[in-house]
Amino acid sequence: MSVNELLPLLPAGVLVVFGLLLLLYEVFSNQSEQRRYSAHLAVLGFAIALTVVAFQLRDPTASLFLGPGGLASLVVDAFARVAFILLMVAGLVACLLSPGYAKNAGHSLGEYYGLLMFSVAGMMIMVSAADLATFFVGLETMSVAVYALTALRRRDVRSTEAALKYFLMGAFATAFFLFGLALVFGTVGSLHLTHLAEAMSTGTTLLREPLLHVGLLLILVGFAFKVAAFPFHMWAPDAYEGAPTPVTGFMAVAVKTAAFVSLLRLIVVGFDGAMSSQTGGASWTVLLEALSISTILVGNALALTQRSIKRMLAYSSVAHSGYVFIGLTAVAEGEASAGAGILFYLAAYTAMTLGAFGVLAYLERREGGSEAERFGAYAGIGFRHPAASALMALFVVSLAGLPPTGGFFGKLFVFSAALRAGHTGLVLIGVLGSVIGVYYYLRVIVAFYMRDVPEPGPTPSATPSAELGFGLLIAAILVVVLGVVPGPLIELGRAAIASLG
Amino acid sequence: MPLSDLVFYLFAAMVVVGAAGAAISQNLVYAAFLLLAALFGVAAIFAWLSADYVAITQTIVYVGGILVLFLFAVMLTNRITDARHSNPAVGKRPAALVSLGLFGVLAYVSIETPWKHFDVPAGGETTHLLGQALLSTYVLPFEVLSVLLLAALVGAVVMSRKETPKP
Repeated sequence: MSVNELLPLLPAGVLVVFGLLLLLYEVFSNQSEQRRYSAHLAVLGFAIALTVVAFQLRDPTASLFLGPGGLASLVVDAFARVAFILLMVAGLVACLLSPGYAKNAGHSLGEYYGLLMFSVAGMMIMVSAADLATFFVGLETMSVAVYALTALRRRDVRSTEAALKYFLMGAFATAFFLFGLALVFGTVGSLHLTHLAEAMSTGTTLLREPLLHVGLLLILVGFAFKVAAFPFHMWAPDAYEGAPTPVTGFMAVAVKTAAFVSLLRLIVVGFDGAMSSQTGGASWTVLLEALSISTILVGNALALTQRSIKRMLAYSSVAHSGYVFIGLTAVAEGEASAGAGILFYLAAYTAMTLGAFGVLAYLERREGGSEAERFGAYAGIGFRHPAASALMALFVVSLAGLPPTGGFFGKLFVFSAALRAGHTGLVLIGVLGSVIGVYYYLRVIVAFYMRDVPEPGPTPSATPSAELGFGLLIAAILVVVLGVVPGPLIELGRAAIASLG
Repeated sequence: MPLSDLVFYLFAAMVVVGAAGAAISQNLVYAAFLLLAALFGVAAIFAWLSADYVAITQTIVYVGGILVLFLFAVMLTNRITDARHSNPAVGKRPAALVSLGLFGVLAYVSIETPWKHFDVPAGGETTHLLGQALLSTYVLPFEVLSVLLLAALVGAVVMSRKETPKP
């Protein structure tokens, strides 16, 4: 193997190198005044890595680290590259949102950006892994870094509690996942997706083995934990509430994107049509359907009753997982266009959710605490911070799925693909969920613009920072562009799905 | 019953008793020691399956490292043994139901399924093969693990060091 063959992995390498640089930067700059450039260093790293991916986007599929039988443990195809872009944009925007917030909350830590970059590198391994062992290493790299990020607000007892809950639940999910891997290995004799696909398509006798199904079920449970699908969503509201707000945004979008994209690869490549009704795998579609219906209903119902904006966004992100599961159900039945829809949805979701949490990070009051996160605390804020509030309005309109925003087309693509796959009932549930969503998302706008300012009014909070403004601008532009010209991205998504073969 | 089977059942019993004890015991110190028995039993079963490398790793990492760390944590925690219930159990009945149900399902599928058989490598030594695989097919995960460990180290330091004063 020559060095050139490793070039497709260069973006992940750049991130790791910059992560290490950030740690060293922290060591060699003692004065906290000098450390304020760590965010810029991180952004530079993401920008370089993104440029590299952009240049490699049209490159042919690269299979790396061939094992016995010529099977690669890592496949960097167009699909993986599109996912790289999504994840790195999420990381970049999260880095831009952080410095202002960190200054306000008093934790300007260079390690923060290092951990963030390591976690994105882990996600990139996840989305390009072609065997489940490699995938697992990426998954854990991502998870461990994000656990640490959640615990950063150490003055706040809620943050510690949130981090502990997230860590314990995550470790539990890992155990489920690993146990599932062991059972799959016990039946199939390999953890490679190609072998799994062979076992599922030709060896119909193997498909009838209950052990394989129990193993895959446990793997699915591991995924469901990571994307906070019902009934494994319990950790999400607490973790979202307790983590530093920019980290919450990053957790909500990047972790979910990485998990969904790799689940998409697992279903398209690994299951290889085994979920269609002919081969007796129909129970899997039923399972995915049940996951999406329950996640949409529970997420939306609980989001309705929340009094804290952060918890409302947490539950609504549970509901968004449900919408993506609608797409996955269609993919499992061989409707490939749903895959492109999912990628589009995740892109729009990344932009709008990061944006919403970014605005919250800006407006959150210095003293923090659960009182300051209630809808009431934001009464009339729309007139005190007109620019930030206008952006918030844009993001929630997109989250609610109203045109002309990216959120609308995301839902449209996923739902229409599900309709083509014949899941009318599922789409009806999705539309119902979206209608409920409109209500609680509009509550934000009502609180911001249509409530009288209580005396004394909300104190201006976060020190306005150029980085944050820039990050919000990127998110807003993405939301609008995806909503006005969705064509190019959905084409990219189609090409990505096609590259899975 | 052949002797080797007897050995297997002995170690299996050690694992089951140890694990059950660790889960049920109300005293954290007892639980830690019972976990020791369970982990040792697993190591023995690995050795019995001629997975020598995994058996040694299991002993060194879990028994020698993690468990000793547990014991240190338990013993250095002030007066933890004084507490009458240092490890109180909540929701015993639902937990028992779920565990029994899961046991039923797993036992059924384990017996029903024809497991994939792998030949024990000749020479009875697996370290060489594992090393080859780790540095060829699995060299990437092997390297990524170093990033994982670094992230864990940095995370631990960030969480445990004194908070820097507000500038």
